[in-house]
Amino acid sequence: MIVLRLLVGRVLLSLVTLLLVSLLIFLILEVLPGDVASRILGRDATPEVLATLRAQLQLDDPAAVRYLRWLAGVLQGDFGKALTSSRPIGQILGPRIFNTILLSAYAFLIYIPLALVPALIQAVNRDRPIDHALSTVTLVLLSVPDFLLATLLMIGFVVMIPVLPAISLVDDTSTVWQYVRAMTLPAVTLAIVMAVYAVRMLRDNLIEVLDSEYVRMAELKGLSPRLVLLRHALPNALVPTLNVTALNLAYLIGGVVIVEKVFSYPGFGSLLVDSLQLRDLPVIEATVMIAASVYIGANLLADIGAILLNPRLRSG
Amino acid sequence: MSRSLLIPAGAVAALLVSLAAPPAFAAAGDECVKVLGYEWSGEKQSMDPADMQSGDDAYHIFAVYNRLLDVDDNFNTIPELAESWSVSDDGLTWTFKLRQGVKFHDGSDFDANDVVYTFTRFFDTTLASGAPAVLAFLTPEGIKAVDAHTVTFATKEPVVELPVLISNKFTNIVAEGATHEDLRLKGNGTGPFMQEVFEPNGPVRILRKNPNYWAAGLPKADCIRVTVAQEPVAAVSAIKAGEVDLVLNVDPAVIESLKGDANVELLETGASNSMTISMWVDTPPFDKIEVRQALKLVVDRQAMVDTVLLGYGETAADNPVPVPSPASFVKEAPKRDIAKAKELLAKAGHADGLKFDLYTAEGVPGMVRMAQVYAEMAKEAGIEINVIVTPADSYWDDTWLKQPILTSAWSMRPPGEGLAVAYTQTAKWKETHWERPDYDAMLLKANTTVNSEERIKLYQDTGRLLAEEGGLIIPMFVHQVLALRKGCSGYEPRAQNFNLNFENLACE
Repeated sequence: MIVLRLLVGRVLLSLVTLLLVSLLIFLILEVLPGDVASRILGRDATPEVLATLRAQLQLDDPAAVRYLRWLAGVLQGDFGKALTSSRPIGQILGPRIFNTILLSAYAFLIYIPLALVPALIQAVNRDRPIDHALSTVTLVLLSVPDFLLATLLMIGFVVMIPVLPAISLVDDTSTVWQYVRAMTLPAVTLAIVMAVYAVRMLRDNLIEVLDSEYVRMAELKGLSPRLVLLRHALPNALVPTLNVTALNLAYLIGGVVIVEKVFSYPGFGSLLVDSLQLRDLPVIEATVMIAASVYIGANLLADIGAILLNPRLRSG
Repeated sequence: MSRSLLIPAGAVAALLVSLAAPPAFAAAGDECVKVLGYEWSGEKQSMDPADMQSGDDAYHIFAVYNRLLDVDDNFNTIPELAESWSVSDDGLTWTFKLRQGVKFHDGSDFDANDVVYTFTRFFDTTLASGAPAVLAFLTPEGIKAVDAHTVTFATKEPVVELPVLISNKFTNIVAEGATHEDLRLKGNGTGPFMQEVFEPNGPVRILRKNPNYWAAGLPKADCIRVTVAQEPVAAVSAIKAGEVDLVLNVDPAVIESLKGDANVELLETGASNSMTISMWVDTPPFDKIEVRQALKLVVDRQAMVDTVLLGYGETAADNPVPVPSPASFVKEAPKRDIAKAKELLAKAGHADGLKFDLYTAEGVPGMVRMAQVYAEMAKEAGIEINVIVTPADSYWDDTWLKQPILTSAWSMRPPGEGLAVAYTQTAKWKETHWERPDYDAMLLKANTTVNSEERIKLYQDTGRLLAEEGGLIIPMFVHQVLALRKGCSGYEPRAQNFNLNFENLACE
């Protein structure tokens, strides 16, 4: 009962947060120079044509009116149409979100072994050359920004070993196979960026656990080292790593923006960049609302999880 | 441990090998000639020729539609939907005879009413097209269908270059009655390719061969697949790996990496767009003609081409007419002269140097580098230039036309239009605040002089006046570089970068 009341409170708070985010985005776009009309016309803009287009797009109305009009639409479940192409937001956003969810899932699938395997090797071979080598590699990768890593992977697996496409094209006619090919480089980029943090954390946790008394007990009982490592040590070392994974999910929302742009992958992140460049308010607001909802939703789940696991927090 | 290491390694290798294998199913557009564009217009992309808001729209519009006339790099006209044309003795009425038996993609016949509709539609202000600004010499009443295959354009004053001027990026012919709402998403032209897949900001555009195309035997390709990528490394990687057949715009920074590749042929255009440093002639210190001349004399133009454009360009003479053109007032770009520049500065009262801010942005590739190189060159003459780099995506909104000296760029136009577009009193984009009735009069005389030798002479004089006294430094023109995959042929790049012609493009 208490949990339920808390949950309702949190959900309401989240809605207020979303409202504030939408207002903030609107205000930032107001302050930025240029508007969608000048972006559409580019250098062909003459004062007369600009005035016509602004009137057609109702950009001459006061900012408050425009914001409230947008908000009223959203409250009725209508996110409006793109100012540039007049296409409904759902039609624009739908395939992009699908592509990004697919890419994120693929990236997570690669991320798990990419984080586990090196950490296990390092923990078992502590202070041996392989441990130092992997530590160096993760440290280097940790300091490489994602767009550079994406470009390096592109040079490696498109130009030097031509196995993957440089331009990650997918559309509704693409086969599963083409999706896999197109998504591999962007997904590997995202997975590496996420995994390097996890590897370093998991290695240290594993080493700590391997030194603990119950692991020594298991060894003394004569269990095989493999069984000790995978059955007894790993699960306990994983718990703190889950926090890193949660943080990585947050990174993913920002990471896809850059990686999708580098590989021209038609996802949600590149849509955000595109619509920002065009100052297309309804598209920007819808995209940001979704990103914010994912963020808030993840935090909400984490909070609820923490409350359920920890009785002391329930009283609040 | 070694065994467990081998397994993932083997799995990774197997994965790589299987990814490299050709896909089992061909997806849409795999059999097409694959064209990669650079410019991007995202959700504002449109199939309506009246929009043409960026070069990105040209990739499909110039494949789906035809204009009355095509224009080559020397601004000579080539028949397209018009077979022949002539002008009345007073120079006021142009008559165009149209090609017969041409059909739109929806099967309807092309005739004079379509031409009249295409041109009069621009004057409907709700269309919000950029076309009226460049077709100001036309009036809707002056465009008439004489019979089914004859159209006349009547003007108030003689417009000698009318055939060239009505062949701009907006004037692809649409079918009579087609509305903006229809055309935006569904093109209906007479061009070599028909729209098969197109949606704004969509990942691919597929253009299918028009089986009824009026030019016999063309187009050569069955279909064209157009995609865009803004990342120069992605474009280079894609053509090296054979993922695309033609890259329409190769960033100078990555040209080197394609030079040694036997599978890639580099194509270079002539003067494609100008790079300028534009100053307000009514604002100190640029209001003194000596200062303007000194600022022109400090430029080492060849060095500018070599460093900023890495050699892919040509030197220019401070006016929009390229030096090799017959309409150019000089046969060679001006030389650098620091001593003379210092002398002029002293005469203008700046003997102990000059200092100002120069605004720029990477709004056009290379502009920032040009500003920086220019600042270095000017230093020797005692001119201290503080280069201010502003965000590229708001440059044309926020900085351009709003600062007294800045960098700019203009696409190639015929002399009469190039000399007018930013420099007459009635110009829409008065980049240099240059307002000279004598200049306008000379240009008007040139644009209305029928005798071509006299006209060229007048263009030369107009260009000279602008170069010697105006507030415009044009150190160079850019050459576009394109990359064509080995085994493909028939693509001729044009200096006007929107003027794309895929008719002869084919790959083995």
